[in-house]
Amino acid sequence: MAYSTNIDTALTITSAVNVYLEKFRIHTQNIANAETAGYKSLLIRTSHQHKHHGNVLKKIAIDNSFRKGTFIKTGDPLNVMAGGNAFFAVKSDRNGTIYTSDGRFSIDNENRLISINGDPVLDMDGNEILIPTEAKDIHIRSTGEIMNSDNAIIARLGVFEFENLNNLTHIGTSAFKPNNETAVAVTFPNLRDGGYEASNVNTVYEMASVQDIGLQIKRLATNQRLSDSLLKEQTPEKLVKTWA
Amino acid sequence: MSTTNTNYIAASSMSTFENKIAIHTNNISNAQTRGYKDFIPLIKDIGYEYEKGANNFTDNMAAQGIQYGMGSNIASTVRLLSSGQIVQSESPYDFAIRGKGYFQIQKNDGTIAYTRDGTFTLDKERRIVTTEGNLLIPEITVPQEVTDLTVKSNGEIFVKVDGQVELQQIGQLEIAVFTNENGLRAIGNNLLDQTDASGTAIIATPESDGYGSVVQYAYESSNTSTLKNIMDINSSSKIYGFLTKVIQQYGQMQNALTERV
Repeated sequence: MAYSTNIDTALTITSAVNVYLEKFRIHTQNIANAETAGYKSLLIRTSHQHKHHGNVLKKIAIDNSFRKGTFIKTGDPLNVMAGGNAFFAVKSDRNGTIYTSDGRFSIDNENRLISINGDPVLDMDGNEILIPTEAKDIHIRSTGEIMNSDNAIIARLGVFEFENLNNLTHIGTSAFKPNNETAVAVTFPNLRDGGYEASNVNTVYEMASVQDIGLQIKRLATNQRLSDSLLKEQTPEKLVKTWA
Repeated sequence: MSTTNTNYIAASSMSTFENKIAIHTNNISNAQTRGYKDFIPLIKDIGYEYEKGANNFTDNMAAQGIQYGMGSNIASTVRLLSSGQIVQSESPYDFAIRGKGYFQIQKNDGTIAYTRDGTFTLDKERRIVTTEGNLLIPEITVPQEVTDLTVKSNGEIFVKVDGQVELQQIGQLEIAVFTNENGLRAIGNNLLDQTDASGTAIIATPESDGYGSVVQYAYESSNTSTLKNIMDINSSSKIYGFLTKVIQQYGQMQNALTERV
């Protein structure tokens, strides 16, 4: 009985160490993106699974926290922040239509409204938004209408929502791609203009988590050394007998 | 398990924040540079790796699989396009643009660059030039016997010649606008080059529809907010410090795990 308990302990500790290292990595990623506009922090989802040799801690998924970041005012008429859990649509060469919280837009030399990555921003119908050459003082209103200096509507910025946010895959640039999930256009979007959504990373929490994981890992390492030393006292024949 | 390690995420992102601090420092050092526009670094999260895709629902893993980020980097810099303050001066050759537009300057290689810095003077041939001696385009030569020079808000330049009552027009300022001002590339000396991203300069006289007006005896100050840049440096320094601690902590954890009894 003592043999199997020692092996169980070793496996439990190893699984926990692996998960803590993953958690550490996730918190590092979050800290690295504390100033990335529209970034949604990552959370690791774990579960204790009972195997024949004991409890094992496993990661199940890495989820996004869709809590809103704060509004950063820039005064730029092409910067907007989407309300609620809405996203802007962007056409990416690599990933097709993707959805982003980063509302820092500009106009390229082909007169298209583009994202920070240079990808075309889409309207409510999924079309690229072209700004007429002669249009001046382009600005986006809180209703999503893109206006010129005469307050004539040029286009309507596409704003979309999803029924299940867990079906979104993070692909970088604060953008997501839906998996078997249809984007629903928001008819009356509630935007904040003249600014963008900041990262939702809470650096104090992330740093405290990093410190805590450090302590947990050291504690587990001590336990593992203890378990290792106990295992060394066993012969292979005894271990085989235990597993049988 | 992802192939990108934690130390790599922390170290590469430290470089992001180091560069960001450098950009804000450059802004502060140009807080007194006429016509200077603040540079803003745009940070983005780097693409993700996947351990298992959404259709690989095995081993109790959730449908969306595991997504691993790889830190952050600076995607681009944009210039804060708001106007600096229009500051009065005593030189008749100081011009500011109130609103949209750039002065056209001929570089040493004969090509044209663009600037919001309207601090001009005369060269030995009495042509209007920048303080570095580059020609203002269109070229304007001020006659020798001029006693007064007046620039109207629409860019018309008049002089009063000694002994004459009537003002005499000697030139017309023209300014340039761009479809995407943020596509202009800074080349130093307050000059900007047009690029594919900016589009070609569209030239017109001041006060044309969509163009700014000219103010004589004035210059545009830098639009740098020193306080805002210092706050940005503080915030980035804090994250840089956190990432340093992450690397230290990671090293200690690795040591703890590899120690042998």
